Amino acid sequence: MILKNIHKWVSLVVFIQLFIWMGTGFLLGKVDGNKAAGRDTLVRQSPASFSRFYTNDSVTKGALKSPFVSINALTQQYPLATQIKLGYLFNQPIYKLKIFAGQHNYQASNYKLIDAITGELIDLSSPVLVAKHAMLISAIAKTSTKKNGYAMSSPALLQPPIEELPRERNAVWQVNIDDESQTSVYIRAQTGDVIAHVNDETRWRDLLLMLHFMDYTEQGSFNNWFIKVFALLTLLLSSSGLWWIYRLFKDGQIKLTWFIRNKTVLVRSSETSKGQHLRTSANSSILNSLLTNNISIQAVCGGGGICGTCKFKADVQLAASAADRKHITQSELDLGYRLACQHLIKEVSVIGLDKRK
Amino acid sequence: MVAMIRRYHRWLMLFVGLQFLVWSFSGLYMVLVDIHSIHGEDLVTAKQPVLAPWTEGYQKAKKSTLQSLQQQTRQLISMDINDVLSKYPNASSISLGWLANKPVYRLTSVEAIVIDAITGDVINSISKNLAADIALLSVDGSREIQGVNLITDNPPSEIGFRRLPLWRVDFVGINSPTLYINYTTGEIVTVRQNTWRIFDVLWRLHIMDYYEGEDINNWLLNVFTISGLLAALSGLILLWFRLFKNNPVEHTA
Repeated sequence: MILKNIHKWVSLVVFIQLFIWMGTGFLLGKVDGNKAAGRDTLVRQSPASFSRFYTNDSVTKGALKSPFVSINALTQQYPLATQIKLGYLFNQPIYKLKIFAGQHNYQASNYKLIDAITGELIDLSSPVLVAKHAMLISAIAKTSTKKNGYAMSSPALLQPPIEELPRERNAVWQVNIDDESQTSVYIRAQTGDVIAHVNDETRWRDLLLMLHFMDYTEQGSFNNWFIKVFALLTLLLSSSGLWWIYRLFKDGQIKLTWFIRNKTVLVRSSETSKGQHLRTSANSSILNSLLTNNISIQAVCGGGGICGTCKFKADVQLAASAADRKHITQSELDLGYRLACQHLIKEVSVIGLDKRK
Repeated sequence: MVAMIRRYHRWLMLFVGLQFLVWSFSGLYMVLVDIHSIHGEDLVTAKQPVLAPWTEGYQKAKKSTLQSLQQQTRQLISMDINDVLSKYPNASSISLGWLANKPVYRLTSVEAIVIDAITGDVINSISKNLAADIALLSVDGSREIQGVNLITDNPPSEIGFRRLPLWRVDFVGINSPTLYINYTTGEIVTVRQNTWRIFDVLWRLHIMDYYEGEDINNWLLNVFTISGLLAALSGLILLWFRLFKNNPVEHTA
C-alpha cells in the first residue's frame, strides 16, 4: 500500500513535467539541427595567408622583412600573455593575446587585440564605439552571413547574462538582420569572433531545451536544483511503477500468453437466481471479465486493489493477496470472499456476487 | 471506464515502463553530475604559463632592477614571429604557445607545423616521453601515469572520428582519466574519464540510439515517446479518479 501511495503522490507532483519531457523530447527530434545552429547562413572565412606582407617584388624590394610588431615588444607591453596568435580582424592583421581562457569559449576569458602593424590596442568592448570600430563590427556581421540585401541594425553591446546565449559569460555585440528568420549575429567583443547566428529555429530549439532542462533561470545548464529534485522524484515514480508491475506478475494477476484460452464460469448473484454462465478469457482478471460482459460489480479504483469494493465469493479457498487481506476481514476471507481485481478467471469456477447495499 | 483506463495504463507500461526507468535513471545521472567535471575541466588545468620570461626584452628589463640577484639562466626565444613567417610566408595562421614547458610556434600552412621557438628547429612528431610530459603538465595536481600508447589504427569509440595517430595517456586513479594528444602538434585533442564514459553510455540509452549515439529522431525513440505520452495520460486520468472520485459509484466498462 505504501508503494501505491508513493506512486500516487509522486505522480501528482511530476505529471506535468513528464508531459513536458516527452513532448519537448519528441519535438527536439523534429528540429532542423543545421538551421538551428545557424549553419545554413554562416559563412566560414578561410583565412588568407600572410604572404602578401613578405613579397619580395620590385615594389617592396624585400624591405618588409619584419612587417609585424615583434614578440619582444609584445611581451614587454603585455607581460601576462600566455599565447600570442596572429590572425585577421576582418582584413586587418591583428595579434590576439590570450591572458586567460576557460576550456569552452563561452566561459569568462581575457583576450587583448593588438594591431599587428602599429602595435595599438584595439578595444572592441567599449560601449561607445569609435566610428571605425562600429563599421568594422557591421562589416564582420555582414560578411558572416549568406543573406544579402536585408536591413541590418547598428551593433549593440550586450553584457552577460545574454538572453539568446544563456551560457555566454563575455560581452558580445549583437547585429540584427531583418530577414525572414530574424537572424541575430553575435560577435564576441574581446576577440571580434562571430560566435553565433541565432534565428527563429534556434529560438524554438532553445525554448524546448530550456523546458526539457527545467532551466527556468536560463543558465544554459541542466545541472540545476529544479531538475535534480524532479529527476529524483521521477526515478521514484518509475521504480515504484515497475515494482507494482512486478508484484502483479508475482501475485499471478498478469499472465502473458500467446493464445487466448477461454473458460466457462458460473456467476451467481441475487439478481439472477439460477446463475449465469460466462465464457471468457481464462487469464483475464475476474473484475475485467465481469465488466466487459456487463455484469455489475462495484469497482471504484478500476482494479488497482486500492478501494476494496469489488468483493466476490469464490467457490474455492484462493490464496489471499495483500490487497485481499487489507480490505476483507478474516472471517469473510474464511468464507471465501476475495477482491475480483486480484484473481484470474482460471482460478475459480463459481463467482458469487452479494446483493449490494 | 476507470477499469478500462487502468488496463490501458498497465499494458502500455508493460511495454514502456522499463524505458521510463532508463529515462529517469540516465536523466538523474546527467543532471546530478556537473557537466564541467564530466568534460574534465577539473582534471585539465586551463592555466598556462606566461610567455614573457622567455623573451629577451623582458629579461633585460628585469636585469636592470634585479642587478645583484643571480639570474636564472634560461634559454630565450630566439626566433621572432617575423623570422618564422619570412620562412613560411604561406602560413594562414600562426601562434606562439606551449608544448609541455617549451615555447613553440604552431602554424597552419598546407599542414600543421610546430617549430621550437628557442632553437628554431622543426618538431616533426611528439615522442613518447614528450607526450607523457605534456600530459603531466596539463593535469591539475600530481598524478601518476599508467601508460602511454600510440594509436595508429582501430581507435577506441570514445574519440569518434578524430584524426590519427594520437597519443593515449592513461592515468592511475579511480576515475581512469585519459588524455588524447595530437601526434604532430602536441595539442590535447580530448579528455575522457569514467564519469564521461558513463555519461556517454547513459546518453545512448536516454535517446535510444545505441550505435551512433547521435540521432534524437530515431523511430524507436519516437514510438516509445508517443506510447509514453499515452501511458502518462492514462496515469493522469487514474490519478484524477483516485483524488476526486473516491465516492463509491458503480462503474461498468
